[in-house]
Amino acid sequence: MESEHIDGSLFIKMIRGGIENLSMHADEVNDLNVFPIPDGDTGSNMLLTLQGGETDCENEEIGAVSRQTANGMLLSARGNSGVILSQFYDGIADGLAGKANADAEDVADAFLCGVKSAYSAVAEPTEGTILTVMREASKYAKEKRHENVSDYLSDFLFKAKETLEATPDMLAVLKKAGVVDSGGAGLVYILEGAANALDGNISAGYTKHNNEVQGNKINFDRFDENSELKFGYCTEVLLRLQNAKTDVESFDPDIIKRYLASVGDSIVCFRTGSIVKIHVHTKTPYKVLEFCQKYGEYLTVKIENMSLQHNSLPSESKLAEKTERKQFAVVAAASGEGIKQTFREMGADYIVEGGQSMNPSADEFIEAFRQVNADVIFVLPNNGNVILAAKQAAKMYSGSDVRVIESRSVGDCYAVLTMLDTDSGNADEIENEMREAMKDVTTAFVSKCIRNTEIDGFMLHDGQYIGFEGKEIVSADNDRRDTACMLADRLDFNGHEICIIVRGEDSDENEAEEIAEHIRKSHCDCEVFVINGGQEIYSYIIIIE
Amino acid sequence: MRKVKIITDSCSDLTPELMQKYDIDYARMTTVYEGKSAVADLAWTSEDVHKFYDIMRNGGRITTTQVPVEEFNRVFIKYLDQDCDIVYIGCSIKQSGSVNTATVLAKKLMQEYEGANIRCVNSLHASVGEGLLAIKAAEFAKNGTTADEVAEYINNMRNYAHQFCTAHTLDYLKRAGRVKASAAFFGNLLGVKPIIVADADGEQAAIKKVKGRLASLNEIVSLLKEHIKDAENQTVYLAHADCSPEEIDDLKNNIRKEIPCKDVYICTIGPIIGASIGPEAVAVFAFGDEQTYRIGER
Repeated sequence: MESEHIDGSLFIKMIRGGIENLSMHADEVNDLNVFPIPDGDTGSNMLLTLQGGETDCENEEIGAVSRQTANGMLLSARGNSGVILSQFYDGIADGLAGKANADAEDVADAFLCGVKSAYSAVAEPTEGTILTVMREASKYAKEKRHENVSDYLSDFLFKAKETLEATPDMLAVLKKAGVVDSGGAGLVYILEGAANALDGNISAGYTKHNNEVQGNKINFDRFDENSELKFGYCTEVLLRLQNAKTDVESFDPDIIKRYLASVGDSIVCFRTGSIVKIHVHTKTPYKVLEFCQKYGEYLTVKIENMSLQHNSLPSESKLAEKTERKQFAVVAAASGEGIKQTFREMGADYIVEGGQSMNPSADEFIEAFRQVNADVIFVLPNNGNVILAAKQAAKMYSGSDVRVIESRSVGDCYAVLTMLDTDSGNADEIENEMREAMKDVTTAFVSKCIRNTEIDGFMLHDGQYIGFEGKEIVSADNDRRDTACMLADRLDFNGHEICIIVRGEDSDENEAEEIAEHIRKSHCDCEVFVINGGQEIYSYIIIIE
Repeated sequence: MRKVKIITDSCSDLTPELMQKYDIDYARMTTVYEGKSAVADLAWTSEDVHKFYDIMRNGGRITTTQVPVEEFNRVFIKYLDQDCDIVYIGCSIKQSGSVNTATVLAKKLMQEYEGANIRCVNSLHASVGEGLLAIKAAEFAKNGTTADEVAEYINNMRNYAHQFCTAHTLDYLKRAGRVKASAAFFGNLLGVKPIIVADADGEQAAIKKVKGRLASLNEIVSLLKEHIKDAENQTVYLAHADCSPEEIDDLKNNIRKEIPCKDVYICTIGPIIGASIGPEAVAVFAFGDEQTYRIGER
């Protein structure tokens, strides 16, 4: 198909083509991992982000459809690459606004808008990443003349691949790890899929993906003949408002939101055009279906018994009961039962599940903002790859004054929460104090290496323990305790009096105490504490503050 | 004219030396450990300071009782029989019921001893904050003032005495129910040290968190420096619960370096305050600007 113009339905086909192609290569993108420990998988993050952009409208104007897609992606964005991708599509939608269809030149201009928007999402853009790939490719393709959008995309992809191959020369960490940038690779797969879709090469039988890319295995044994329905059903529907049933133009989704509040919690309900997206946890999903059908018909319906969900249950990780509006609230991202519990006790009002290996989406942060119901919300992302999603959510949420404190680790969060004091009643002052509390905090980790590699002069092999601070490997050994002790020996305790050892789920209580004793011996002015964090991936997190 | 005798209680943490110097006596409270009660003796004659705090370090729980009415009776009558009037400077009524007990007894004794005057003053303080006011009262009483004048004087002075205290943990105070702390002090604040003041209503109030012991010791000095007035003519009092001599030495030197005071005098935190605040607590005291802070008020 050689189309000069693309309309809304072609645009959606291209999005689906992107989903299709990326999902086939997601694992490959996930493996483009700089550091030899598990991390927020870029491929999965980008795929989940892109899937949020899928809408069910066909044959509409490209301006409207691309806007709807972008809005969905802004919500589903997770991980830094996901957020950048969503901003790229947001810019594209701005570029296509008001257009019924677009030719190659329109698309070229829109992509340039996309690049601009993506750059604006990042405070300090790094070259050699997805940003460079999209910028170089858009610039290159813009300068060529094209008969149709398909030609444009092939030029775009030519340059995108070339730039991707060059990313290791731009970014030392990539070179050291011998990989190309994962976000850039994801972008290439997405646009390759889009190009294929445009050329009619969609591989046989594209099926709509549901949001289970993580490969959650459902264990039906979790709900047996004698189980009690404790958590209810996670109910998600897309409702198309119908003119025959209601005045679509003036319909206010708050009607639905209010009803949902009477039958459940964890409510998300907003409309985009004539589609209302609804998410609720309820024990009586039939009531939700019955009520909503008064205003429209269903496009999709998904009902899951939450007792089966293998990820932690909402009522475990979050504050279930709705509270009165507060002046201040703290939302923190965390994983590991002990860590979540500790943060909650220390004053975090709501924990967004996620961290190193599973990055939460903007949407999940927005739900947290709704739940805590406060005038001012302080957000602690606690991971470098979560900060952008938290900031995006903050920008999109108008119900509160949301302030993201750029905490990059469990240690940062711990330090901030121990010093948290909202008594002054002054949000600026509290924010400054929170930032102040993170200064001079060192967080170091002991983790298991997941592949053979040479890095920072260490010959590492799969299964070995590594101790690192920031992205620098400091110690490596087959023995976990020795790795931790050697790591501690290399850390700068000067002027610090507090050391917290957060032990992970694979660690040992006695061993942790031995490590604490080791630190006490060499730093007698330092108080050393051990907490059971129960986190994955990191056997030990050593915080010095 | 009747002599005015100043009496305080076991919470004042005054050394025997100071009590002798200022002619102050005190009413004894008692501690209870494993069902055995002991007189809270500020001279530590029957108990060893280190052993006492070791009980707490090892997890032992020592409870305290206010001044028994018989003890007030003993000490008041002792001085009434010498034709003295009495001003009792007691621990903040937010911390202890002793001032109330004493007030009831005083009414009765004033009927029995015609012409005698007994005034019971709520110092709004504990530890040397209370002791400091007792010393002030004793100095004032030397000028031949009446008990009423002394009581009035102390009522006006009490919001100008300052306490800045730090401890390893708020747990002891929380357990004893003797501290007011906001939500900021919830949770396991490992390594974080509270700063505790006596507020304008006589509450022991945790006002601030500081990271680490050294920082907290510096903080109490810098807070005292901020609030002290007329330092040149004052002795700064430092009270501690069995801290290492080196730590107290360093702290004393730091006070001398930062604050141009006449002297730094070191007291031991006695069994009553000690049982509530725990080992290694340290506090500094002096007169300064007016205390207007009230916990719970913004």
